[in-house]
Amino acid sequence: MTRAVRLLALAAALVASAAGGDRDLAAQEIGPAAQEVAPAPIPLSAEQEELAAEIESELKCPVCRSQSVRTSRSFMAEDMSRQVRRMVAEGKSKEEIREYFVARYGDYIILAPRKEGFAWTVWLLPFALVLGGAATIFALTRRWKSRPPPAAPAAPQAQSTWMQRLERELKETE
Amino acid sequence: MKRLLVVLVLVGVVALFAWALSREQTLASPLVGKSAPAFSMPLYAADSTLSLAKLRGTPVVLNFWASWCLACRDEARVLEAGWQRYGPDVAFVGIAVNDEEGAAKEFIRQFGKTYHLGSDVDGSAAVEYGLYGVPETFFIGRDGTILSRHIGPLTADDLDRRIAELEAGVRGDTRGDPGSVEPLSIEGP
Repeated sequence: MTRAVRLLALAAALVASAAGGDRDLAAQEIGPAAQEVAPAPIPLSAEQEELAAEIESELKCPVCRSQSVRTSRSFMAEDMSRQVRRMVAEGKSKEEIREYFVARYGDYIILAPRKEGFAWTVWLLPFALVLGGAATIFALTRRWKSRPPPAAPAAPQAQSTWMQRLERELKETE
Repeated sequence: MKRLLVVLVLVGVVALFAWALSREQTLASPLVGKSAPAFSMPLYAADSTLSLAKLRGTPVVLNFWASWCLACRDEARVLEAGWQRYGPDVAFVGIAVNDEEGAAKEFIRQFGKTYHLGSDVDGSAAVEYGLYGVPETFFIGRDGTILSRHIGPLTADDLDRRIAELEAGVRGDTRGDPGSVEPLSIEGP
């Protein structure tokens, strides 16, 4: 029984992997072959290395969602990393390199949205939601506190005429 | 009334998420309508290089492919048949990305390809064209402007329609089947 469960779990994991659940896991499995094809890295000074790393951290790997070019091991991320290093070596600024990638992939390629125009909503909306939630909780708490205490339970209703008659007859019997 | 407002807000948020997700899957290229990035690549067939500048004045079908890409096999014969039918009035160029020379040459031999086929040695052409995966095909007008991009394997009908747009100089859009593109991170040589 336990073996059957393990087999099912393994099958589920394989299906999830095949469905693209973890694309970079697949990329890691083919890593050594990729290195045979990739050309040698472009040498940079310590300062340039720092700039290249900073830019790579802000660029999204186009084939693996929510991962930066810096952390991804996909081929495309390696090609992009090489391009960043090439441009840094040529003396291009961070903004120029960002613009280069945006011109080819659109704003999608920037991991964190820009702080301008409509993109500001992405930065401000979470704070607005937290503030709105806090204000709602505060208002509800105040309303509950200001409510009058619940009324005392009502006096038992007058006994029905049948009960009165029953009691009277019982007394008469005694 | 309050409940209706809450429901409306929730529906709005869900609709916003749905729109954002669907927008990402269209993979629209900002390069459409702009000048095709220049490139130069060594050709497999001859001991020479090909640059896009040499093809100026001729419409170009620029296809990114790889020998390890299964979807590229689906369109391999379509592209060669297209070259036989439309060339040399329309130039066909194939750029192999992240591929090994031996495997790429075997692929070319297997499918009897005869148009310009070379290698993106340092991966710069893939980045220049904002590639997400293979196959992807760009249709470049006589003046060097990218008129459209097709994502996924081309069918004969796709190719005929795109080339008709190309010869008419009409700008198309990013169509195709994004689901059939093989991201460069999944498959490899």
